[in-house]
Amino acid sequence: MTSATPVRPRTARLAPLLLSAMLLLTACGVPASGVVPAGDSATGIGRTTMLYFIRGDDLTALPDDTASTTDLKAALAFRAQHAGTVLYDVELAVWLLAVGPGDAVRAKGVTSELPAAQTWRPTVRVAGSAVTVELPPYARPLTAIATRQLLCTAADAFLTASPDTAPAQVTVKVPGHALWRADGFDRTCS
Amino acid sequence: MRNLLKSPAKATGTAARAVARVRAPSRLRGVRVRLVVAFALVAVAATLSTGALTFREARTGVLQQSQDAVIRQFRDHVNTIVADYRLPLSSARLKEFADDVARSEPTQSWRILATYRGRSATSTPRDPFAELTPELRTAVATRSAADFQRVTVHGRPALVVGLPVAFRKSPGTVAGNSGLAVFLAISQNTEQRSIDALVTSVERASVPALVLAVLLALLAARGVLRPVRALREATRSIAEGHLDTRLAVDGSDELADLSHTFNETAAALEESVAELRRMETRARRFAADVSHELRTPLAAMSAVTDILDEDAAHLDPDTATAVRLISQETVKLARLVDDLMEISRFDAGAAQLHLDEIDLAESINSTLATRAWRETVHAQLPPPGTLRGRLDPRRLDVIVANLVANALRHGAPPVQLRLYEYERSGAGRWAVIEVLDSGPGIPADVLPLIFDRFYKSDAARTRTEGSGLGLAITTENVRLHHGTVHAANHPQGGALFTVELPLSQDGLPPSESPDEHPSESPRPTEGSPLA
Repeated sequence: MTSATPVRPRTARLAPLLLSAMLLLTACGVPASGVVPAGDSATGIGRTTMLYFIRGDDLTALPDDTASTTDLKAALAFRAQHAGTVLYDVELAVWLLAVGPGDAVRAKGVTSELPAAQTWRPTVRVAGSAVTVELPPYARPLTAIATRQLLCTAADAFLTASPDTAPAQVTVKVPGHALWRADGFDRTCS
Repeated sequence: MRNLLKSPAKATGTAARAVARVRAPSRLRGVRVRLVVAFALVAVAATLSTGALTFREARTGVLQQSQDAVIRQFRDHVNTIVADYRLPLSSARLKEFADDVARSEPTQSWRILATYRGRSATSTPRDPFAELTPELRTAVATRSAADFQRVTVHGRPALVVGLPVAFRKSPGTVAGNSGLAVFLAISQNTEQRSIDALVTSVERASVPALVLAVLLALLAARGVLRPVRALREATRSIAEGHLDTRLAVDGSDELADLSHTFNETAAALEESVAELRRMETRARRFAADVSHELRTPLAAMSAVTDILDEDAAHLDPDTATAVRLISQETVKLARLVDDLMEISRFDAGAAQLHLDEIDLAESINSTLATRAWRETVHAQLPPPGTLRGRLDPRRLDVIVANLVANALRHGAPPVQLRLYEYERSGAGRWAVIEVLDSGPGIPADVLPLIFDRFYKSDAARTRTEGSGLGLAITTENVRLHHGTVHAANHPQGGALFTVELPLSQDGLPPSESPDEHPSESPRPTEGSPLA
């Protein structure tokens, strides 16, 4: 007579257990997850220095395909060991731009308004995301498009080399004449 | 004594029946149901928990294997393809790159999103790429390592892998993040199907487990309930008086232990009852022997006192009084010994009916006449020859004489006697003898004891003229006829004794039926014709 009571509480105790088991089974399928690290990144992409020359009246970005400047690159690579890869890339880009378009592209009507540099090299400084290009004193100020050539080439090289940092603040200094600034990639570049 | 032994057994029997009655409705909560429920619950819980754990492990395995393979393939393909590309990429080249990656695995439907410098290109035109969460995008942009995320979009599971691309290692440059990232979204329908198959198999496993558990529970319940049922039957049998009931003890579990204890208890009970019966028999035989031994000296004493009585007139008064007293007491003693011997014969089961076809009215008339009661007893008898039956005439005489003597002795005259017959339903013709006195009646607390041997209604009056066995002998005689005797108080005062006797012994058991207690007769007094 006293034996009638225990059945119901036992089922009551077991009910949540069964329910959770059922839930475990029914809440099946492929569960969503958080972001999980999955090993190394892909690697192996190369880079090209883009040089901004003038075709017609507008800027055009051309990959550097000059073979004649290998000694220039070697000289810079030696310096890059001390200066860092970003500075190397920007310096190389600015110097290649200063050298001017090669004969093959020149034949297709590509020009540069930057004064040809045979005896000088622009000084490039990189501090964080600030890039400063200092030119030697010219007899006359740079044209607007020549300034854009410099700004775009330096910014592109900086961004390619260090995509993680904020876009560069490029400053072009011409002693005695003027100071040009551009924030990151100018819309006029490409 | 036999009655005393019987009545507890009867009480136990009724108690057992009462318990059985109480327990019968609770069969739904019986051992069988509880065992089945418990086994089923345990089976379901075990199957489900095992299934759930196995399922979780298996699912993790399936997913891990597939996503590891996808990520490895993806990385390999991207590594191969990026060798043909150089940064910076134009929008067109970015699209071309995404297409190349998507095409690299033609057997699977890879959807690719490539991002570079804030631009993005998808392998499928105008693909919203909803699977890509901002968290994954941020993680890929900030960490230079691959990441994956499983998401569910519109109820469909998908795996998204984000893979940043690092620069080629070359002399003079340091491999670093290039800013190019590729995302792969791939449907997980195959994995979903594998996992669904797992669930189905777990569900299929639980059904046979459940069935097996229920079968086992029924088997276990059978094993438990069979001894319990045997025990119940045995208890009932003992309660019905079969003290030699024993259980077959097999096995050595608790139930076998219980059966063993039951057998021991039953044996002890049987032994006690046998001992009591032996003692009862000895006591009866002793009483019979004593009365028998007393009879011979008493006969001699009676002869002597008779002679002394005759000569008492010649003795001096004191001696005469003493002699008469001795004579009276000797007569009483002789009567007591006769009654004792009579009752001993009943107790020994030696009393037998000598049936004869008699006229009851005539028989009662002669009883009254023999004892000179015609004047003191007012008898209402049917006409001679109308009420005949097969009875023992000597015992009928004893019955009537004892009842009337009792009425005269303890009640007060006038005493009324009435005889009539009636047809008892299904039991043939019965005769009723009623004896009513005009005394104060019987106290209510004495009524149930009035037929007991040597019972004195007045405790202070220790000496009465009767032996104290008259009503007991009446009872035994009535019982021998399978009749009933009943004592009650008449509504108009006076004690009313009612004897009912069957007029034919045919169809009744030949031996006496001691179980029937005379005072338990349900004969109502209200319907008495004397009222």
